[in-house]
Amino acid sequence: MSKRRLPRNAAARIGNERIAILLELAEQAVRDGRDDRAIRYVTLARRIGMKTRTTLPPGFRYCRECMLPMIPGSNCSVRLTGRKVVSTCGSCGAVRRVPYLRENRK
Amino acid sequence: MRSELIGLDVVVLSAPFSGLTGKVVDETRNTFTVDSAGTERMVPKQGNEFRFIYQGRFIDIKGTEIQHRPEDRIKKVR
Repeated sequence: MSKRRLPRNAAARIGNERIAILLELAEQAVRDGRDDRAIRYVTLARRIGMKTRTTLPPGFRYCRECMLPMIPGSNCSVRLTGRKVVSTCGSCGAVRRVPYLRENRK
Repeated sequence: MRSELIGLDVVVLSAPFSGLTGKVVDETRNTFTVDSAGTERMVPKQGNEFRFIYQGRFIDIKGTEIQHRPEDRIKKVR
């Protein structure tokens, strides 16, 4: 099989399309209770992102430890502690804390 | 064929899996996992021919032509 390469922007365009498809399937899989598939789809989407040097859409939240899409109210909890946003993954228990000091200073 | 194959409807055309119809739920370098009416079956790409239903059209592909990891298929195929 030939290894002819695509120009980078064409690869990135296809990459973005495929990432969008996979992330949609991942959310669908969570709703169907198929977490194993959801994790697989997010992993594949991330790999495609790395290969084509595109980023996952910033609005898409997933657990950085187990790659499960995070859907507040369904499989994760999001709490404000006064200094940080604390998101806990409902399946592996990983905790992610994002500070919001700048907003507090105003 | 560089687009996403997971999620597409597929018919396997060649011998031992002939007529197997369903949705692609996973893809590895050498296999597809097809969900056919609730049962998952792993079908090797090598030696099999597939008919994907992509945007309303039938697309027939030999498995050996897409024998790459899904993330490599973007850059290697064709």
